[in-house]
Amino acid sequence: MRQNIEVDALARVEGEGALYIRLKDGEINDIQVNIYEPPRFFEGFLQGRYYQEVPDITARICGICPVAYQMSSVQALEAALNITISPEVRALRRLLYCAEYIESHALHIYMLQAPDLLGHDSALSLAKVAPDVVRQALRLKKIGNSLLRVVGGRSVLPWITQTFRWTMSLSP
Amino acid sequence: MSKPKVAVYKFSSCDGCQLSILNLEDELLDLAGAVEIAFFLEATRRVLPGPYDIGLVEGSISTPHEAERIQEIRHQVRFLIALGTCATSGGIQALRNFTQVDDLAVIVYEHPDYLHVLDTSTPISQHVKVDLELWGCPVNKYQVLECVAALLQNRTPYLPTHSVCLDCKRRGTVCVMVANGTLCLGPATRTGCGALCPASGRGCYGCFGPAPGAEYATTAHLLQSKEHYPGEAVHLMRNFAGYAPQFREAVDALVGGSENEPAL
Amino acid sequence: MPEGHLEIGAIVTLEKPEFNRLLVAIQEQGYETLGPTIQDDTIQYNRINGLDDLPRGMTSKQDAGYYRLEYSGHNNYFDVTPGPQSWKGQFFPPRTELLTLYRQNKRDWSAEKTQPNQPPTALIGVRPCELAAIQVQDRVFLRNDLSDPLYLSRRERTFILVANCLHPGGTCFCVSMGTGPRSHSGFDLSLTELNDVFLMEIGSEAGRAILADLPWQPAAAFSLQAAERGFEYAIRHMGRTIPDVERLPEALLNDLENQQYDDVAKRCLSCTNCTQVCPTCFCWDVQEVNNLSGSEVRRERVWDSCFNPMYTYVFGGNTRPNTRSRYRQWITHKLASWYYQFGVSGCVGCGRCITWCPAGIDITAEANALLSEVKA
Ligand code: SF4
Ligand code: SF4
Ligand code: SF4
Repeated sequence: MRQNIEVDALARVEGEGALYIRLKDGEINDIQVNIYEPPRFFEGFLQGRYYQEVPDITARICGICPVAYQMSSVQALEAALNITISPEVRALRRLLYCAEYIESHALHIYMLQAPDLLGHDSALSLAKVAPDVVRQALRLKKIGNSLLRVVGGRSVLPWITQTFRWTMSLSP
Repeated sequence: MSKPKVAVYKFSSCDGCQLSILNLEDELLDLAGAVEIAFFLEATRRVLPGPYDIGLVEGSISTPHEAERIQEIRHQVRFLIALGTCATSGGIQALRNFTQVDDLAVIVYEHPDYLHVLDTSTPISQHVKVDLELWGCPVNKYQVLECVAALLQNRTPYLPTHSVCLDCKRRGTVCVMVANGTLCLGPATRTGCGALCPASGRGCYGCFGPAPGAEYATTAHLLQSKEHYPGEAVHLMRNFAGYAPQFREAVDALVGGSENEPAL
Repeated sequence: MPEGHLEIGAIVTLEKPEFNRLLVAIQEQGYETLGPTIQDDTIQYNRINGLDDLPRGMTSKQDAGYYRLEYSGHNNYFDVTPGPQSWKGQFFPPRTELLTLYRQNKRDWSAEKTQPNQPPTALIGVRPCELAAIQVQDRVFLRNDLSDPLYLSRRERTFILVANCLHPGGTCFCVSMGTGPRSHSGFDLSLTELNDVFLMEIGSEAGRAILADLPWQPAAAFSLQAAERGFEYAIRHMGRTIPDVERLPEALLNDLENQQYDDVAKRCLSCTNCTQVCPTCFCWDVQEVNNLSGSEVRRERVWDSCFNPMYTYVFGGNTRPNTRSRYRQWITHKLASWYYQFGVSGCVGCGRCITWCPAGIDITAEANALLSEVKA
């Protein structure tokens, strides 16, 4: 007996994807994951931009985990330009990253993953049977977002604060 | 009246605007009670059949498949809201529109021939009729809430369109241009963020797009006259909302723009 | 205790260190004391408790579209002209909640008006142009037929200590507008800062009562002379001038198609900054904010601007559809039609709109250009 499981659009994932599973005699025969997220060519159009703009632009690679992309681009630039940052700035960056962990993990665990494990469609339907748990999750998420706002300026696509910009002028 | 059915869609984008909806931590459960969330893959796998009363569309149109899908969605949705600067202007990925997409593709992909992309990334309004545009990269979540509340209450949403400058002054933020010589696109940028960047001591980079009725070309010229490096003014305008016609034309109008223009 | 009796109008001296006791005396009358402090590289009004909170030794470099606060090492506390902030926000805050409506049932609402709750406030170091601006706004908000209750309650509970100007800034033109460099009335106390003492003038009974208990001295003739010389210097060193202010109302209103408006429209950004920093501009918008279920509505008043393109949008179109019409509205209102509306000029010559215009548009230059085009 041959059976196919086809999910054209996966729900509650960060981004977009499809999943195709082919079964044969109850055994998995073939699995295909299709990430059809359109290409956006960041590496291409970053060329020719001013270095100060890079973290703002790479943030837009993913709105759910922008700090990861900002942090990596900043580190790449600093390595290339031989910039050393002060321990204070490093600590602030870490704080910003932790803020994103808190927000993003709360989102992931409670709103994206838990409904599957508990047989629900979403955190919203989960809220009908376990409102306190969902409220607590939202509170946790909010704490992460508040921290993101304090350190980074805003919760989604943060890092607009001065703390993370290079104020020195680079002489060749 | 039964609860209006809401659908949320994603096109070429970063998910940040959809996340802004989920970031309505204090209001989310009320919101879910006031409307029927009928299609919102990022939040729920439950899909109710259309048609839908309100459609929130995140992202720009950058692939042939997206160009088809937005047509289908338009037929499904009664009131279509373009959500965020990708959906209203083409977004950061519209920087490809100023160059050849093939040239970018070879930089990024080993087999660009596998790609199915359009030459341009364009706003939703270039493909279908849009009933309301909500700007911002990302959107202000309270503006999303205000739109939904207004539709529920059958009134026009309150969405001011003045410059970011007015927000700076209301909140007591000192002008970064006058006091520091920092370039700022605030005079030509639409309100919505509450002047986040100047309040952090840096110039606005226009993520809420052009403010209707602003003086884009005059602003571009002024910024160019205060540049710290050649091309800074072009960079500021040719950014997250760079493909918005007002910013595009302002860049085109820059005297000597072609010589000063960086690669893009 | 010094000899003699203090009267309203009297001018006495106070040793500089005594200023701390003056502030305490004002605070003891129940006032919160606000004055110039350094914040975000500019002068902003915050709570002050003593001389140490003041921007001693600072000056501001101001020009069209340019502001820098600099330390120049002098010993004066009140020698720096203001930054973008004016005292306007004290009485007419950028955002005011006016009213909240609660839905009782389908048909009935209950209303809760915002009650004035501002503590009595003492404004310390108000510049003569700024005092003039407060008096201009009084005419706007406190009319015999109609007055704004929130403005009134804040204004009534305010003590004003003026600091006269001896060193005007680069964009000041109070002399042209007849508002400075020295205030003559409308304050509770005024001070003129000399090298070693403050020359204090008593403007009201409240001011007299506060000063009476402090170790004031009769003003020596040479102190009075030093102040006079200082004012003469200030008058000669205004950053800007408009020579023919009296001609403005008629000249401007009779020449609405002046070509200068086309010229300024090419430079102005319609960004609203000039109106927001102006201490007399009073445009506002009233907005209503509902909650999701519609059971609660807040009505707020926020600063708005005639430069906001949507400010004059009415059903069917915009009565001021372009920057030319908006700039013309603004300058003719400030310098001309304000006289007919409120009996005074709408401009007090503080220079803020010049300094804080990112495009560096200068109201004095525009006014002079407009005047020179008009056949005298
Ligand atoms: S100040 Fe400008 S760039 Fe910054 S968040 Fe606001 S609109 Fe976006
Ligand atoms: S118009 Fe300009 S100079 Fe006159 S009071 Fe207003 S801000 Fe000051
Ligand atoms: S005059 Fe200057 S500050 Fe005023 S709206 Fe025009 S550009 Fe802005």
